[in-house]
Amino acid sequence: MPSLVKTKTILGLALLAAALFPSARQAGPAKILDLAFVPETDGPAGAEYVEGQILVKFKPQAGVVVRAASLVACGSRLIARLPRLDVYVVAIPPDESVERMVEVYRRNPDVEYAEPNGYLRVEMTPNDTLFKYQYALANTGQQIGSIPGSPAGRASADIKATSGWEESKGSPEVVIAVVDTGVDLTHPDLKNKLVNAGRDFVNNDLDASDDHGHGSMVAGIAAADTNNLEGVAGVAWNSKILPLKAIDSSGTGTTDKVAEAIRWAADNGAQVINLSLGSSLPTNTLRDACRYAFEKGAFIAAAAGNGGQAVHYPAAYDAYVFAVAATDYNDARASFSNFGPEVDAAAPGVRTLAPYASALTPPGYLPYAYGDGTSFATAHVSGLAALIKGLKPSLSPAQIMAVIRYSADDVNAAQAKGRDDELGYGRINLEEAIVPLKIRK
Amino acid sequence: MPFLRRGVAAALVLVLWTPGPLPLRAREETAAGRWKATLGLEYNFRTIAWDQKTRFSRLDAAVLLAGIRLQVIRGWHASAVLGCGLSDWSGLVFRNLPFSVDYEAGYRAGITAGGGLETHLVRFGSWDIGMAGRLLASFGSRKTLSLSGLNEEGRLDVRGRWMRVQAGPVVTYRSSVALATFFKASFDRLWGAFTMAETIGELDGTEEKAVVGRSWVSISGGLLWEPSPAFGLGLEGTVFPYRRAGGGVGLDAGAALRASAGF
Repeated sequence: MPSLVKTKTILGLALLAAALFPSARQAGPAKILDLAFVPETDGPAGAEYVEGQILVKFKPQAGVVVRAASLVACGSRLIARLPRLDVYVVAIPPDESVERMVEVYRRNPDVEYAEPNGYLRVEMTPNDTLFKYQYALANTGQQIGSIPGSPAGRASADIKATSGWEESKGSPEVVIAVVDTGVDLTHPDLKNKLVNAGRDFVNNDLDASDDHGHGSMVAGIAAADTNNLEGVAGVAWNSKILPLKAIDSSGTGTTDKVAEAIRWAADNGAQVINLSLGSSLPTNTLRDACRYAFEKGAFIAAAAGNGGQAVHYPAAYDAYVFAVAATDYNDARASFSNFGPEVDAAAPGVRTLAPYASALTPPGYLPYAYGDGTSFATAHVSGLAALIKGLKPSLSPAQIMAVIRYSADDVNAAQAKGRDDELGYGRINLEEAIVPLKIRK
Repeated sequence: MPFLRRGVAAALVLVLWTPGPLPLRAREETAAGRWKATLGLEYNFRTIAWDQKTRFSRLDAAVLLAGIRLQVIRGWHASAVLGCGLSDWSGLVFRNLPFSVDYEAGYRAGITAGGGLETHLVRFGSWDIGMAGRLLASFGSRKTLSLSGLNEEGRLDVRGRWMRVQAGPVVTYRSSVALATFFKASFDRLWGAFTMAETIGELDGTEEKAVVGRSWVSISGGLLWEPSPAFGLGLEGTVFPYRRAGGGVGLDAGAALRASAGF
């Protein structure tokens, strides 16, 4: 009997009490903004510099006439001069590239330097109010939770999400199927991300509502509504969620239901399938379902399991499934994380903050919870796979697997250099996986 | 292969319409079958468009060409050149490889070869009007670049090649026996392709950028100095105007220095 991967959802204390945000509760949305973080700066998302203009500094000996002549010769127009720096903000001819004009100016012997007018950002930080607790996405060494005694992580022990988001926040064309306990269809951080109400294979209907809580957390980590001034950020901001309920309210499902859900997901357009579930019992049915989805082009991420033992199934179906281990806020292996040769990579799975089913949230608490488990590590990988698929639709599931493996950070290299059975190739790294490699002289 | 098809088409154009490139022939040669050895150094930068002409970058190319020039019949000259070149394709971006790449790797060497034809049409006193055409192709060379920073060894195999076709009238004015100035207005087309093959562990992918020069014409002017019938030196400057998408005219440029010695 497959059992739901053990998750230590620390409800109660770990649920973020509204009391943690007194100003937000008492003073309304304006106060919530005070809690929020630096919003995105102006400029097109992902752009590195202002199109149509560059910065030029002439050599001191270049006179006004020489400077003016240089601008005219290049078809440029002066926008402004920064007096203390003696730097000109110059509009380049329309349809001329910034790179080229920078090169043209650099070749001018009267020019000391020329460069793009770059955008500066505090990285791509979403404005979700609880983002600061999501060390998994951006670890600044912050305390994870406001409860006294909450642990603090090590800076940079994260998946480099903010850098990765500079390149892509995902595509709405990419659907992540969450085969789990369902998803809270009304959750403020999830309701706008759903393809539809999904399918419930437990009760055999078209309402995949979550009556356990686990599936909502997984879905939110992968693709919560992000930059919506509320709640948490998902890894794949723009990807859609297809909720498929194959696990019942007790956290238990059966092979037939899960296998059916996997096949249904593959047949209904899911490019990524998240399986935060597992069992020590191998079954041909589940393996064949994974193979079917894989061959239909779906990337499948599955939890390695939480018993500190051999990798569970379906994660252990190595040819078709990407097995995910868990790390913590210090980039150390989570003690509960299963291990074995099937482990492909790891992701944060300790005190990971995620949306929680509203109907199951006690009064006085926000519908968010911290959870431990390879389930939540897996959701990070699913989000990354969705980002990759959105950028490169032609990549096969096997290629996406390789991209994630090769771009991971070998965070336990001191103990085991290279791929190992505990963390696979290492903790996933969004920046390495999707930001272009620069090939320079 | 579009590159090959364009090459064949361009060769046909040259065969059917036989102008030549370099008015390095201010002195009239009267004997058919006379050979000259030539040596040229050229540099051009051209704005190129790619990805369905939605993206632009620049191709810089410097070539050193040695060749021969033969008066095949009176007033008709054929030439062939072979040499080496350096081409800089920096600015191309590859987003369809498993790992995206921004290419900024600078100049790459390659073999360059070509040929041309030229002829006189009309002469009025010191003025001479002719036609000239040339095809020049850089075949590039395969270069392997190593990729570091990933969990598996990786490499990029890159190769860029381009072809330039010029054809148009040449007006030459001889101010003295040894000195002439010339002016050319040419159809001047540039095609090319840059291929990048990425191999990282079990991952591999190939992406090719078909590029085309934004300018279709060139305007050249220069000087010819021929102190004797056996020796000539030419200097040429060229601009490549093109229409910007947002309006106005953009200019690319180039220069060439050429010498010839008769047998």
